[in-house]
Amino acid sequence: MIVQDIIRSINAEIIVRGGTTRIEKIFAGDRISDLIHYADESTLIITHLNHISLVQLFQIFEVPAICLITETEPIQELIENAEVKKAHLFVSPLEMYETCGVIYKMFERGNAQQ
Amino acid sequence: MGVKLSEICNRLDLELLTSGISELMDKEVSEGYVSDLLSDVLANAQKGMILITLQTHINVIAVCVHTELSAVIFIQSRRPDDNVIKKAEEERILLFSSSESAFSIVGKLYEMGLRG
Amino acid sequence: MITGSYPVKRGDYLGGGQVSSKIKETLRRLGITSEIIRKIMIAVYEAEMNVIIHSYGGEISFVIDDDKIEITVKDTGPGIPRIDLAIQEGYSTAPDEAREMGFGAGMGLPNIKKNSDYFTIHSEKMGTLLKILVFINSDKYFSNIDTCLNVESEKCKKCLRCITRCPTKAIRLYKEKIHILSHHCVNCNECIRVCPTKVFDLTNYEENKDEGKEKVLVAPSPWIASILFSCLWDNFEEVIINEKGLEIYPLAIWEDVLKEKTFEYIKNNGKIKHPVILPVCPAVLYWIQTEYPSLIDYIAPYLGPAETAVNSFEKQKRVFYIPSCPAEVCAIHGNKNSDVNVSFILPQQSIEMILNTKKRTTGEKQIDKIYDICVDKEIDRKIVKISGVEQVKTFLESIEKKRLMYNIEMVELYACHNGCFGSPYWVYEPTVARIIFDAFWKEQKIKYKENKFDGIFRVSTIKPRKGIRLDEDVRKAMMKLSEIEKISKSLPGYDCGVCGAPTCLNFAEDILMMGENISECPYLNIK
Repeated sequence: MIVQDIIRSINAEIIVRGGTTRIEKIFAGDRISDLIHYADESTLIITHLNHISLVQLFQIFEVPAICLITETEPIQELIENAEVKKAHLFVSPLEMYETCGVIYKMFERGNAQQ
Repeated sequence: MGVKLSEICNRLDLELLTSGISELMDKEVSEGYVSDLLSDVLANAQKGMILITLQTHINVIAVCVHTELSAVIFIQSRRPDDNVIKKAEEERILLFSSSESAFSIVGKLYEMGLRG
Repeated sequence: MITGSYPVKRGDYLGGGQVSSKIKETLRRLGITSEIIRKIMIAVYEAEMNVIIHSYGGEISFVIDDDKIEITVKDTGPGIPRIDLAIQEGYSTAPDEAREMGFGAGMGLPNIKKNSDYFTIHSEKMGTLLKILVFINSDKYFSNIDTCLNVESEKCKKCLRCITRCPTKAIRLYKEKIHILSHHCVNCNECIRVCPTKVFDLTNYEENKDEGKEKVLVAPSPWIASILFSCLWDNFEEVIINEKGLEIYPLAIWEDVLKEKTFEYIKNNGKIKHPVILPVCPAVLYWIQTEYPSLIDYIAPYLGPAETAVNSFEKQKRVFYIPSCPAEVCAIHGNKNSDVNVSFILPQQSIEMILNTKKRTTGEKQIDKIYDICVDKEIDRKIVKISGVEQVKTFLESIEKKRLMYNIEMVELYACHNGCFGSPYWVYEPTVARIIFDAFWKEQKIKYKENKFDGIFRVSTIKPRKGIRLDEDVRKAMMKLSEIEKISKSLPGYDCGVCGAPTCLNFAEDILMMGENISECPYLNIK
C-alpha cells in the first residue's frame, strides 16, 4: 500500500510530504537497534522516539516514512532530513497501540510481517 | 467488553513464561499499550492494560506493578532472564512471549476488540 | 586500497551516525551492492553508537580491500567488563539517558556480529578494540556488451551536444576525435538523435549474399507505420511479395507473444519481483546491465521480440530485419542461433523501399482509412509504457529505491520516446505513428494468429556488465579511484563539457585512464 493511504487512515498530521512510496513492511518500536535491523527502503517506522537518532534512519538506512505518535512535535533536524531525503514524516493523533491497530486492519492481508 | 487472557494466549499462539499463577488467565482485559520506553509506559499506561514490549529489563516488572498492568507480551522472541520471570510470579503478573513483531501483535489484538 | 579514519566523541548523541554516513558514501561510489552496504551500515552504526554511549571517545577507521571491507573501532576506555554478557541479545549497561533515546536495547554487539562475516573484540580498561570484516562478493561473473555505433569524426563540428546528452556518459571528444567508451555505451539512439551533422550511425553489418533462399522480412512497427502513412498496407504487401519474393511478418506478433509469455510467467511464479520489466528495448536492458545491475532480477527471462523473431524461422529461410537503433543490431547479433541467416536492411534503405513500392500500389492511403477507428483506444492497465531516457532513468531509480506506485505488474521501458516509433531514423511524428499502428494492429492481429510463434526463454541469464570497474584487479581499481578523486578536486567542478568530457569527474577519470591532459580544462587555463 502507499503511504498516502496510511496517512489518510489514521488521519495523521503531515509534517513533510514525500514522494509516492510503496510500503511493504511496517515496524513499530522504540529502540534504534531494532529499528535499523528491520528498516529498509520500503518500511514505515512507527515510533515514540522524537530524537536526533531517527535522522540516521533517513540518512543511512533510506527509510521512506516515519510516523510519530500522539501529537509530538518533531524536532527540527528530523524535519530537515526528511525534506532532504524526500521522505514522509507524519504524526499520528492516536496512541501507538491504536495507530498500529488501525493500520493493521487496513493492511489485513497479513503480509504486514514486521 | 473484555477478552480473557487465556483466549488471547490461544488466538495469538503465545508462550506462557510464568508458572504457578495460571488462575490469572481468566482475567479479562480490554485495553493494550505498546512501547519500549519504560518512562512512557509509566506515564501513560492505564490500570489493567496488557503491555506489548521488547524490553526485557527487570524494571519492566517494576513498572507493571506501579501501573497495575495485568500482563506483558514480549515480542520478537525476546525472553527475559529467569530472575525477571521469578519476580513477575511473585508480583502475580503474567508474562507471554511471541515470535511476531509489535505491529502484527497489536494488529491482531485490535481485531479482537482490544483498544488502546 | 582505500583507507580512512574518523574520530568519535563521547556522548555526542547529536553527531551520532555521521561516521557511518561518510563510510556509506565511499562504499556507494565504489559501486558496492546495496545489500552489502546495508550490512556494513548496521554494524558500523551500532559500533559508532557504542563508542558514543559507553566509552571516553575513540576512532573508527576502515580499509577497503579487493575483496573485503575491514572496519576497526578503537576507544580509549573504560572497557567492557563482561564481554560474554555484552554479546548476548538484550544485555545492556546503557545509562537511562541513552535508553530514553531509544538506545541501550542490548542489541549493539549482537547486531554487529550478525551483520559481519568476521568479528573480533578485545577489551581492557585502557580501551576496546573491535574488528569487523565484511566480504565483498567479487567473484560475480560479468557480461560483455558490444558497441554497434559507427562514428565519423570528420563530420563533427564540436557542438558537444552528444557529450552532454549521452545517458551513460559514454562519449568523449578529445583531440578532434570522438571516442565511445565501449564499457559505458548502451547503444541507444540519443547521440544519433542530437547530432546535427550525422556523425553517428548504426553499424552496417556485411550483407550475407545468399540468394535463392526463401526470404522473410520481420517488419518493425514503425516501419509499418511509415507504410501506412504513404499507401495501403494490403496493396503494399502484395507488391513486395510479388516483386521481391519477401514474406512480411510484423514484429508486433512477437511483441504480443512476449507479453502473453510474461503474464503466464508471472502467474506461475508467485515470488518474482514486481514490476516485471519486459525486455522490449535492448538499449534499456543494456542500460540496466551497465548502471542498475540490482534490477536485473526484474527483467522477464525471455528474449526480446526482435531476437525471438529472427530465431523463429527455419534455417533455410533468409531473414531480413530493419533495425531502429544500434541496440537492436547488437541484440540480434548477440542472441541469434548460429545457423540463423539474418541480414539488416538499414532504415534509410527501408524507406526508399517504401517510396519505390508506393508508386506501384493502388488505392487510397491507409492513414485516411484508419484514422477513424483509432479514437478512444482501450488501454491495458496492467502494462505501463515508459519511454524516453529521462523517464526511464527516473523509473529505474524509483524501482531501485522501492519508491513506486503499486499495481504495476509489468513495464515496457523504451529508450526512445514512444518506443521504436521515436527512433531518429523514422521521419514522421512518433505519437501519431504509434496511434495509427496500434489501430492497424488491432485489426490485423487475427491474421497472424495461426502462425503460433512462441516466446524464447533466455538460456544465458542477463548479467551485470563488465568494465564499470577501473581495473580488472580490484585492488588497483581502488588505488585508481582515490587517484581520480585527487585529480577531480583540482578541477573546477562546473561540468561544462568544453574539455570533451561530460563532467569534471569523468575528465579526471580520463586523465588517469586515457592519459588526457589536464590543461584541456578551460578554467584552469584562465587562472
